[in-house]
Amino acid sequence: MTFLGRLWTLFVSGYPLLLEGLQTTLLLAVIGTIAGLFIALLLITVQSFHVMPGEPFVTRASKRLSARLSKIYVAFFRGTPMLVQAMVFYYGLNQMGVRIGFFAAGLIVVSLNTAAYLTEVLKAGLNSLDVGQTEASLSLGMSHFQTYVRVLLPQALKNMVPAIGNELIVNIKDTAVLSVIGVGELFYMGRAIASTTYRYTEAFILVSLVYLVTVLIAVEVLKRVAALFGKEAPRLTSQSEGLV
Amino acid sequence: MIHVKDVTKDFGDGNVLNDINLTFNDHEITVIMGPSGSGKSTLLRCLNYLEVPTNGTITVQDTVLKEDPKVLESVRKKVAMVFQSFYLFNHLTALKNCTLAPRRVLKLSDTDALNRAEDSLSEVGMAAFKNRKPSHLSGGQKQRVAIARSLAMHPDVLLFDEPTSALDPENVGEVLQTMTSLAKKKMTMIIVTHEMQFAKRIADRVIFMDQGSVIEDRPAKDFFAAPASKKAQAFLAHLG
Repeated sequence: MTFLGRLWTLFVSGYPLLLEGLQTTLLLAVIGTIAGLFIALLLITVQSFHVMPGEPFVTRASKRLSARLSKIYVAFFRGTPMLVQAMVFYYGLNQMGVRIGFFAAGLIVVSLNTAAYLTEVLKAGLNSLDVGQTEASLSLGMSHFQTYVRVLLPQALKNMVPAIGNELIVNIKDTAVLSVIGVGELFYMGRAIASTTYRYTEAFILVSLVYLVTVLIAVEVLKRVAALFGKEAPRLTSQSEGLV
Repeated sequence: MIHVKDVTKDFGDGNVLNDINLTFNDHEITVIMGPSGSGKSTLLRCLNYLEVPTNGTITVQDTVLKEDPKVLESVRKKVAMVFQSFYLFNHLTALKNCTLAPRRVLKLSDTDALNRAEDSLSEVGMAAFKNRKPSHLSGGQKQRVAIARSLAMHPDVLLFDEPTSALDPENVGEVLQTMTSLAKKKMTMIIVTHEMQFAKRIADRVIFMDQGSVIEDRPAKDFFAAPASKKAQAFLAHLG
């Protein structure tokens, strides 16, 4: 049988597993990105609290402390591999007697990780806004918090639509590492097919193709979503433009 | 009424404001002039504490400004500011730029805020553009919306920080015209500008600054007829 023939046979016999794995992968990526975004909003908000000398000491101290904790969180999750976080999280919880399923553990790790990355993206988005936006808002009597919620955040979020899309694509691929804690996502299913059929090369090529098609479809969908916000969507290829 | 008492401002290396003492009266139109770097914008920004003075006190209608959010918010809603680069909220339409602070700061109902915003936009001749985003407005139009945004707060004082300096020459006229009509209503206005003819036309009082100090503070008529200081004479001659 030819190589392509073997690939096809494998696909026909393995597609229920692949489909199940793909479903898990997409759930992890989509829910993880959305949950991560919400956690990121929380993390960046406490980092954005404005401390004024005229405020009570307790207010100032708690603002500074929460900002510090948020920064430590981001540093930790960006500074360690998601694979290792998954191990620590899964075994740690079970050792403490907290029974948690593979999927739930995986989803939490993806969300926490995405949150750290999106916090940095949001920070960059906020920093890129003209300081005049803040000044104009304050000059109208808006509080720092109102300014943040009503003026700065909406603009930063709109600017980061492509970056959120990018994070989703990264998550579709990077959730593969969760197979180490037994999450039945696409790569895990690929390994299962490989080890039962002994067709390692074909199985992983098949899995690659499923990832590729999924990501290409996601890119197209994101392009349309980004267009709604008047933004350019993430691309898989980078276009280099020479200086004229 | 705004009192400025013994105000100095240092920015790291340099002394930007030098022992400033001034009183701004209600219903008075004051123009602050002077060469660039003379500290006039900094002085204006101290009046609503966007810039915090290094020393000295600012008193706005009996409230002494300090870095306390409650104090600043209560004063800033009565002292509106128009900026050189407009700083319209880019994600909001002209109308929503004007309703945001009345709703969130003055806690007006949606209907009241809307009415105010529409009145303000009409006042600056921008009612027809109320549903446009800032990116679809010209510089002059943006500045008129920014003025409307300030007016919607029904402020006691209007601060203008070089409102026409960032505009293309063909857009300057419409903004000055809008400001002239406000001046006729005897609003309290403090204006930093280089527009001499405009200043001559509307100012009650001129403050001339140089190197962080007030050099002249006189009725506009006297100032333009015969500036006392050499610096001011040279400056006016240069502006033509």
